[in-house]
This record gives sequence, structure tokens and C-alpha cells, in this order.
Amino acid sequence: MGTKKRMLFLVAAAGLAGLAFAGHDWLRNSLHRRKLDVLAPATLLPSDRPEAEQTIRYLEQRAKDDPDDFIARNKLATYYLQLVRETGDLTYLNLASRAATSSLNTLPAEHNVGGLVVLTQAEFASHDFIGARDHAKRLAELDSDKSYPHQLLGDALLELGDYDQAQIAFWRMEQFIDVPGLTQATIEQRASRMAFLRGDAKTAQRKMQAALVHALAVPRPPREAVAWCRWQLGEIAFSIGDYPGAERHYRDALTTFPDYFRAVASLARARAAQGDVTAAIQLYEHAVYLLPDPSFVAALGDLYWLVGREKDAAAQYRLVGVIAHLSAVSGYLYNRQQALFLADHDLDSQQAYSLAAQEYAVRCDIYGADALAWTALKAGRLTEAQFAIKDVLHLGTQDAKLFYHAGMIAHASGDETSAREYLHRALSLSPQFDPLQAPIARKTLMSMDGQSRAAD
Amino acid sequence: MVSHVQPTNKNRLPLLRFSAFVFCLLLAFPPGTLAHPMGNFSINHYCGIRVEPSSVELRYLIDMAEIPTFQELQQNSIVAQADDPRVRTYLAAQAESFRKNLLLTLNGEPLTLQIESQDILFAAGAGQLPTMKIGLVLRADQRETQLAAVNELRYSDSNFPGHAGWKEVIATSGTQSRFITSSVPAQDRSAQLTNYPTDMLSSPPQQLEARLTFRSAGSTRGMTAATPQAQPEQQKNAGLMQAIRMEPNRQATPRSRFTELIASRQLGIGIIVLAGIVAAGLGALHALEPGHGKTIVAAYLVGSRGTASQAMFLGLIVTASHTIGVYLLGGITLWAQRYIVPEQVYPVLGVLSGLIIAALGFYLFLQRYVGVAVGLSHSHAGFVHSHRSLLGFSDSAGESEARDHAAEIRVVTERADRMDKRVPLRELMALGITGGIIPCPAALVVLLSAVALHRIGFGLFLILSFSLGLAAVLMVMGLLMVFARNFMSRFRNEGPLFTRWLPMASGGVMSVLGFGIAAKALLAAGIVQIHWPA
Repeated sequence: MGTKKRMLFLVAAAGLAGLAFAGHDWLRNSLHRRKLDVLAPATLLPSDRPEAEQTIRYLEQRAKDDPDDFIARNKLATYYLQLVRETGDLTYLNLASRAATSSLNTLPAEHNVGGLVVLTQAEFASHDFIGARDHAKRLAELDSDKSYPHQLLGDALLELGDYDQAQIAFWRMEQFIDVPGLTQATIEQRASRMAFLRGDAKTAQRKMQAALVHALAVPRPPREAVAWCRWQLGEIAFSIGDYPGAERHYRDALTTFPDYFRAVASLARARAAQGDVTAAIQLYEHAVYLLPDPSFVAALGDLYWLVGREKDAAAQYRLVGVIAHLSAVSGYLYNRQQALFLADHDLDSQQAYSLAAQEYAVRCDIYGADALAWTALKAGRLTEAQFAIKDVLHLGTQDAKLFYHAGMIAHASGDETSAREYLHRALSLSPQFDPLQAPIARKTLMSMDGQSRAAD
Repeated sequence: MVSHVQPTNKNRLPLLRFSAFVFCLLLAFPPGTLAHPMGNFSINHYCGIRVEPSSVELRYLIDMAEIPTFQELQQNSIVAQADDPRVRTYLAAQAESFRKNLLLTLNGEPLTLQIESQDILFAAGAGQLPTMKIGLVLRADQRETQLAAVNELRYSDSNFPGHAGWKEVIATSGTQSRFITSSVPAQDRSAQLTNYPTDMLSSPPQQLEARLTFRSAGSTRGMTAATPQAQPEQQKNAGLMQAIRMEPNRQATPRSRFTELIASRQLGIGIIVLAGIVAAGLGALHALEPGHGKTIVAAYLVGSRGTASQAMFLGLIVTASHTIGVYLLGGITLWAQRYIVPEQVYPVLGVLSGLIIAALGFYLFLQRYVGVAVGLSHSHAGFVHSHRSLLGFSDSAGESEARDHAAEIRVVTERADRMDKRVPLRELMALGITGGIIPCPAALVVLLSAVALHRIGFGLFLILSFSLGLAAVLMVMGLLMVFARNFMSRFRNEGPLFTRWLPMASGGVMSVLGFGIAAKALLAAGIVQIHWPA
């Protein structure tokens, strides 16, 4: 019986070792989480706007006095791009592009990597992702011992829907160690984004927390970078239906950076999801005042409509049309929002479809495919919608809106089983993902249940 | 438009993709400029402070770009007409609200501002949308008792806090006051919000406050007396400045004139001509790609002893038939997509066209194999052409090249037939139509984009230009062939290689290609699946 005993002992030892290992892992993880959770409460970070303003004036003067001063132009472009991130004001984007172009005209990229960097960033911000991708590749050649070209490349590829190549670029970026804190933050942000797209919200949250820790650890934390991380944390929380958690992050973002337009609009959405329409309306009004992004305007219109202020709602919807008209005159930043707006409100479905299709032709990311699928469904192109929605879901992204669209497309195709499953997933993931669309999802699900019961 | 869902268009010819892209650019004209020089949602502030001996005058301007103007018009249910009574009421209310948010203090004590004049101007902005400018002249009296030897004046503007825009404050002094210090410049950069410097690198000023220190009139009397000449002129200037300057933005006009041409679908003649020329150039380039019957034309003219005028005529027919072909296919596509999903149609057409090509090849092969009389192939010319036009439908992924080869191979067979024959007009027409009617995908994309952008007329015009460019190349080629015919005819060969074996070989190749096309279409549609062993 000695052998049996020995066997038992071995099994027990192995079990214990396994338990200890798992326990250690769990302990370490929970400690790590602890450390992140006990992050000091959000504080107001001082704006560097007045200083930046002064520096900008100085650099503008330098650029004016010396047409060959490409360094002043590169620096100017950097400052302008910062202002674009902070305000969403495209005037600065225009200036940044001009500064970058004129810098590169003075001195070509081979001797002026800084000029190419700002040009690439400006292209990315102007949604010229193909230009940004190609220039990022060039940067990777010119500045091969740096991590940032891979980040720029990955970002552009991500927007173009080339997820595998984007992942490779981000991995390359991670190979560089001893990078400054803010670059650490960027690395974590990208990892978070990739995790979210692949449907792993937990990892996404953890990585974004880490990014926030890095961003706060630098000597003078830039408030937009910190607020952006907090806002992103809110977005992830919202996507998994944790509305109070999302609200907390948005409020933290606004504590860090008051009137940060992204956080104001997202806070409005979180309030609306928790049933506080009055506050949501006020917040959206403020967001639209800060930046009339068509998605903010449309969301405000929806809430007006929900509380019976039809006239105000109509005015907002008209404003969306005006913005679309203006953006068509001055470039194409808002095609996607416009297409989704039209499809969501059952307006000009052909126009919505053609906008989404135009955009998808150059930008095949899953959200572009989603816009195409949704507008194709509304425009009566069911086959195309079915094709596109497959592309949308191929990464496994856990996003209630995507599931909702998939459910409605399956419903229109007569595939009740898939329709029910998708709609159920959308609603269990984020029951109030949209004030107008979530009730439609619920109603469709109920009508299907009613029908199947009637059939029984 | 359809191929967007399927990433199968990767193997298209680069030139074709390029021309389609340039065409779309032509249609869309994204000019990359902003409508209002300061961005279309900006609210721009200007305040000119003028310190006079007994009063402080503010020239206050608010210039709203298209989006805020639209919001104001909606919220207040007013129209963009300055003389409308409701607009006058709105202006009065707005002026009062602006005034309340302007704080002016002299030595720490607030001064009461009075509105002296108020004006409103609606200037046309981008996309036929109005922009709105409101101009106020405000004045605050400063009593003797408030003034010290050195005074501090503070100004702050809290209208539209946190809103993007150009924010400019300038300060000038009147005849008898002199600034000691000023936190704002004396020169204005925007000519009172009428001429924003947008041509160079200059970001909008963000000044909403000013702090000035000045000596009051009493303490500067000596100074002004020393410059008596300056006085009347300055007074004259002051008089001129009584009315506030209300002009539309200078930059907005030329910029938006260009963009509106596109937005309003009424393109200027210059742009149309330019677009036409570019389109014609692309058509010419396109004619150099395989296909489009240029080989047919060339071979035909060589073989048939055609004349220069016939070459020209052929070119014209090609233009006409290509234009009609694209219009027709575009029309059918637009009509049919309401009822049929194009993805389902393409494979069917692909199979159909593949089989037709295969049948034709097989027919030609048999013809030569059994040695059927030459005349038969001519009587079937009509049949051949009508189906070639059908083939155009199947112009989905990479198939066109194969078809082009088939066409060129067939030409070789036809060339042998037609040698030493007269040129009947009917055949010439048939040839021209064959050469032109195959709609190229690039032209089709243009047409469909034009429809999507609601610019059908312009699209139709571009297609016509494109076809003209295409025909021009064919004409030149035809002429070259006509002139080079003597040279070419030296190599005429009447042996069995040309009359029998070559046509037979080409017939065989055509059948194989045709089956290949059909099989490919079947595979693409998923009707047939092949599992390769691993």
C-alpha cells in the first residue's frame, strides 16, 4: 500500500502547489488592482493654456520673421495639435497642417523628421488615415530606433481596419523599453484599445488604468492626457453597462479638465442611461455649445424628443443637417456620424448608405463596417448589410450597439434565432445603450417572443 | 459602389483604380478649407476700447459663423434679414445681454455702459448659409471725481465663455489721454472682424480682458498743448469712427464662392471645363489599357484599307457608344438595385458571359476545323456584338482582362477574314459600337458616385468627356494605322497559318478562357466549392 500512499501524497502536493500558484496569481492580481483602485482622487490639473498661448505667439512671430525656421514651425504644429485635442476646434488643425507642410517645404523629411511627425499627426487628426499610415511607415525607416513611428502606424492602421498589422505595430512599439512615462501611457492605451476591440473589457480597463497611472506619474501631468484616460475608462465602463462607474470616471475627467467636451457629452449620455433626462439635456446643451459635434447634437435632439419637446428636437436634427452640409463643403470629418444619424432616424436612407459606403471605401474598420451595415439595412440592401455585419463582429467586440445592429439585420433576414440572441446580448451588455434605439431593441425582442408564443 | 463589401477589387488594374479615384475627387472636390475663416462654429469677439477725456467708448463686435448663426435663428425663430421687425427685437435683446456681460471698471469702480448704436448684418457664408454679425457702440461716462492722476481701467468680456473663436481686444487713447501701460495692442489684426489673417501661421487671439493705465486729461494738458496740429486730425478720425464698421468677411467671400459652386450644384464654367479636360485625359489613358476594341479598330483599318475619314468616323461612334453604354448600364444598375441585390446578379452575369465566350470560341474553332465558308462569320457579326455588349455587365473583379484577351484573340481571326474586303458602313458602325459599348468600371463608378452625390448632370458630362478622350486615342491610332498600312501590308500572309491554324488556336483558347470565367463566377458566388487537398 506504500505506493498508493505515495501516489496520494503526490497528488495532494501537486494540488496544493497548483492552489498556491493560482492563489499567488490571484493575490498578486488583486493587489495590483488594489493599487490601481486606491489611486488618489481626481484633482484639477492646471491648464497650460496661457503659457502655451504665449509660446505660440512667440513661435508665430519667429516663423513670420524667418521663413526657413522649420523648428519653430514644427513646434507650432505640436502646440496647435494639442489645442485640437483640447478643444476639438478644427481651426487649429488647419493651422497645424499648414505649419507642418511649410516646415517640410523648407526642409525635406530626410533632414526634418520632426516635420514629418507633425504632418503625420495632422493627417491622422484630419482623418487622412492613408496619408498618416504611409508617412508613419516612412518615419519607421527614418527613425528606426524610436517607438513612436510604430504607435503612429498602429493608430492609422487601426482606423483603416487593418487590425492584425496594427497589433504588430503596437507590439513593435512595446519592444522599446526605458521610454518616458507618457510613452508608457500611450503603450498601455493602445493595448487597452486592442483588448476592447477583441471583446476583453476587463483587460481594456486594467490597461487604461495603467495608462492613467503612467500619465499621472510624470512631473507635470498634462491635463488632456489624464482626462482622456479617465474619459476612456468611462467609455469602457459604459460599454459593459456600468453606468454609475462610467459617470464617476467622466466626473473625474471633468475635475481634471473642466469643460472637456468629450467628458461633458459622455456624462450626459451616462445621466440619460440612468434615467436623469433633465440633467442629461443640460449637459448635452453644454457639450453642443463647446463643440457642435453632430453626434452630440443628434443625442440632444433625441432627448428633447423623448421629453416631448418636438420643436426643439426638430431644430437639433436640422442643425445636424446643417453641419453635414458644411462638412461636405469643407472636408469629410463627419460622414460616419451623419450616416448613422440618418439611419437611426429613418431619414434619407439612400444618402446615409452612400455616405457610409464612401467612407468604408477608404476606411474599413469595424465601426465603418457597422455604419455600412446599418445604413444598408435601412436602404433595403439586406445582402450587403449581412456581409458587412459579419465583418463588424469578426473581432468579437463587445459593444451593445454593434449587437443591436446585428440583431436587427438578422431580424430583417428572418433569422429569428440569431436576432433574438444578438438583441439579448445587446440589452444584457448595456440595457440603456441608447435612449432611442434601446427601446426599439426591446420592442423587437418582445414582438418576436409574442409571435413565437402565438405560434405555440 | 457594390464592391465595397467584398474586398475582391484588390486585383483591379491600378490605372483603373486611379482614374476612378480621380473622378471621385473631381465629383467631390473636397477643398479642405473651412467655411468661415475661423471655423464654422466659431463665435468671434472684437472690442476696440477708446479712452477719451470724459468717457470710454467700446466698439464691440460679435461675428458668428454658420453653425451658431443657424442655432440663433432657430432658437429665436427669426429669419436672416436685418430689417425684419423680429430681428430688430432680437437685436435689442441681444445687445442688452451682451452689454450686461461686459465689465468695465475705472480704478476698481464699475462704469455703467450705455448702448449708443446697434447694428446687425447677415452675410452669406459657406453652403448658402448665413453668418451673423452684431455691432454695438457702447459708452461709459467717467466723471471728474472718479479720475485720479494715474488711472487704471479694466475690461472683461464674459459673453460666450469657453466658446471657440477669434477674441481680440485693442485699446487706443483719445486726444487728451495717454496710456502708460496697456495689456492689449493698439493695432487691430482683423480690421474689426472683416479681414482675418488666415494666409499665414497665426492662431486666433484669445484676448477677452484688458488692463490699461493712463493719465487723466488734467495731468496731460501740457502734452497735448505741445502738439496742437495733431488735435483736429485726430478729432476728424474720431468723427469718422462714429459708425461701426459692418462688412462681410473678406476671406469668406472668395473661399465660399468656390465651395458653394459645388454645394449648390451650379458649377462655374471654368471648373466644368477643367474637369472635362481632366476626364478626357483619363479617358485617353484608359484607352491605352487592354480592351476597348482598339486592337479591333487598328486591325480592321489595316485589313480593310480604310481611309482617314473612316478612322475619324469610327472614333466618333466609339465615343457615342461608350457614352450610351455607360448611361445605359448606370441606368439599369440604379433601376435594378431596387429589386435585385447586385451581388446576386454579378455571378449570374459572370457565368453567362463566360459561357457565351466559350461558345463563341468553340464555334470559331469548329468553323476553322471543318473549314466553313468565310461568309458565315460575317453574317454572325451582329450576334457576336450584341453579346459582347452583354458581357459588359459582368465587369466584376479581374475578369475584364481575360475578356480583353479573348477579344484581341478574336480579332486575329477576324482580321484574316476581312482582308481584301470593302468597308461597308454597317460594319464600321458595328465595329465602333463593339469597341465602345463595353462600359469600363471606372466610368460606371463615376456615374454612380455622381448619382449618389446628386450631381447627375455633371456626372453625365464627365462621362462624355471621358469617352471623347478615349475616342481621340482610338482615332489617332486608327489614323496611324491607315498611314502605316502600306508598311503593314507588306507582311500580309495568305498561308494556312493565318487562315486556319491561328484562328483555330485562338478559338480553342477562347473556349478555355470562357469556361474559366464561368467557373470563376460560380466559385465566387459560392455555388460551386472546391476543397483543395491540404
